[in-house]
Amino acid sequence: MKLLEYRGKELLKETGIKVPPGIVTDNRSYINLSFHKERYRDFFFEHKEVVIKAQVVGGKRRKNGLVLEADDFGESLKTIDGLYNKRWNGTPIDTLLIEKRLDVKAEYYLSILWDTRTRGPIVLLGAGGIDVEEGAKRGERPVHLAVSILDGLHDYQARALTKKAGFTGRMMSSMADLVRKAYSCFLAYDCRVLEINPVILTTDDLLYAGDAKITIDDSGVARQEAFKDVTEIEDSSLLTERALEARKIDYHDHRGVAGKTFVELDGDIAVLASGGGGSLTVMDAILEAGGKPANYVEYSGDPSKEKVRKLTRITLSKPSLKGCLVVGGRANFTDIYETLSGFAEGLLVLKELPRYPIVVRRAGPRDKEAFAMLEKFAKKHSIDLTLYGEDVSMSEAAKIMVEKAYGKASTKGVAT
Amino acid sequence: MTILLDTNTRVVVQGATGKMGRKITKEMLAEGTTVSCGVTPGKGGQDVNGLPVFDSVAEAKTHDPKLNTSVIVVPPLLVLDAAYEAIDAGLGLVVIITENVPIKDAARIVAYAARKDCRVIGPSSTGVICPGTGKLGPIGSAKEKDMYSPGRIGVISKSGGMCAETSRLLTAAGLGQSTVIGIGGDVIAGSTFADLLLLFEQDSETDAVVLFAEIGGAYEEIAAEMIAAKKFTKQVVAFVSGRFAETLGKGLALGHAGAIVEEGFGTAQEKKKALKAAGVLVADYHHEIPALVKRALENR
Repeated sequence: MKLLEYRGKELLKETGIKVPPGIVTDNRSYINLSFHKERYRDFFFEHKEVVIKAQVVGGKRRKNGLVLEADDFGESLKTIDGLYNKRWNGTPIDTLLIEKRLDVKAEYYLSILWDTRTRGPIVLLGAGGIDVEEGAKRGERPVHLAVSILDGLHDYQARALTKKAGFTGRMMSSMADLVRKAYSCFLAYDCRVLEINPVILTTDDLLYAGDAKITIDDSGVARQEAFKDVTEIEDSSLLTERALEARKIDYHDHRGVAGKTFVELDGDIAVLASGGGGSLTVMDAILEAGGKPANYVEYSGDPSKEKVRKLTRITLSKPSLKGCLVVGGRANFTDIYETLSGFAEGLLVLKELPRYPIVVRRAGPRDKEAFAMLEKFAKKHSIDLTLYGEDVSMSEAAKIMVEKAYGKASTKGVAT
Repeated sequence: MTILLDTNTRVVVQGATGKMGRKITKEMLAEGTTVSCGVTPGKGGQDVNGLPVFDSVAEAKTHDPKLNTSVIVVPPLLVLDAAYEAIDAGLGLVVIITENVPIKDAARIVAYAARKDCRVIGPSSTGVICPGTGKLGPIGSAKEKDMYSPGRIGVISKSGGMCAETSRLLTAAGLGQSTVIGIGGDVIAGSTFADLLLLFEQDSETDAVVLFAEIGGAYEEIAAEMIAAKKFTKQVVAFVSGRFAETLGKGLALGHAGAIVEEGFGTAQEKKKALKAAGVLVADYHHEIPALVKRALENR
């Protein structure tokens, strides 16, 4: 779960990291209501120079004209209006963070994430700020510190890191203090990535978080009070409505995974795949066979019938589909009867029953019962349904689906 | 001989009284594994499949002093506590089946286990099977003769489902398996490809190892480095899934939490390149694996 800048900054502030004074406007009308306009006017004349930042996830906001500055009140209102008229990834901008413009002496880059080499947290700290990728091209690399999750980050380690990054004297210690606070924030909120870019050093030698890019570990969300209503703070510009809806299926029902990752694609073959590895293998196979998947989604870990029903309804709600592939290897413990019953029930709650071909390739506990049920179901509702067990490999099933969807005759004996 | 699991293995199931706990207890017993007892805090005194259930792993250890392995199936947010309990009770192997364990908890468990000399498999492991000897977790059964069969090929897979699919292909080609391990596709894995290759290196019953790899993280690259450094000298065949995911751009976790392309590393192409450079035979299609294993065995 990616947090918008202002949400991320709330967490940083909570941990004692300075953020620039700012106000958040939730929607377009906000700034026009006289009460809020009054509040904004007071804010503006207190600080006189402001930075107006559209709240969207994704880098290079400044380059994309989504972060603008103003030092005149009337101009700033126009800038605000201008930003509200922009769209980002097809979605209107509905939240702005308006901050005091700081007097910048220097900018730095701080990032904390999980490292698969040390299997623990790693802190990256570098000079430069903002354009880390450009810096990397010039051979500038941030210094790093692998932290022992059991022993924590000691002051002396943080100081050694900041010294290595080029900080000296009092700055070495104040930067180390910021690193320590960021690390405690990283752990406290179950972060997957915590990035502050830039860390701003002001002309009066204070350090501020100029931005906040925080991704929360999806598996940690359930125990975080701060994220009770998760989708509210989800970045809607990255996820389509269907993806958001699909993600909600798993919250507060931890048995199995269904819809946690729903990716909208521009093709026409709907895919309901099972198993993390198997689902990726099948997507590769569909592309290989010349098919265009309409989505990627995965369910596994013996999810309930209800979860699969919801996922089916969401996945097949896309108009103009040409086929639907339900595919997985042999399940170890996922109840095939229960999950395929969920699939059948999902078809029934669609606006209209599918008239495109459906290919199911599945095996595992209670698969015979499941296939008998589906055969009967397909006959009753006149659905073009083809069932395969393990005699047809996953990649072969993907190829058959592609052929059926695009109207070619089914080829027998596809090499697997 | 096999790795991780042999006739001395004695198992406690943590979370034994839950739906999954009952199911795998029954399955493991049927597979020939010695399951000693179960643990569910607050349910001590009950029984699962005729086996006693205790409130703690320490009590289970008193009941069976030879207990050495735990299989954990408790809910995600309880895994940290359960794993610490097993490690503190002195068990040498902890297999975590539970999915959706927070990264922070997994990292703590892995670091603590390393300190206490305990091996962890998972989280999100589908289990371990030594066909003919027994199994840990829900991984499947060697009783389904077309899937797992005894033999001399090791399998290490980030994907649970593909443990079965890969073994099925091997079995169909007459290639039985020594030990098959689902290591899980999480960001933090208790045992990585490299960790387990070291065990297979020592195993006289294994001739070659198949890796089912996936985009994201550096576990494949680490394996490639250790193979290149001749720390693993047997034959290796690998398949790397997730090429599709790379068409979507950075920062999206697909299928498994660890299957994420971040900061330009961890792509399928880079992993394939690293593995090939280390002398690993890399399959472009999953179904090519058995043929490559046969070729690898001829190369010995």
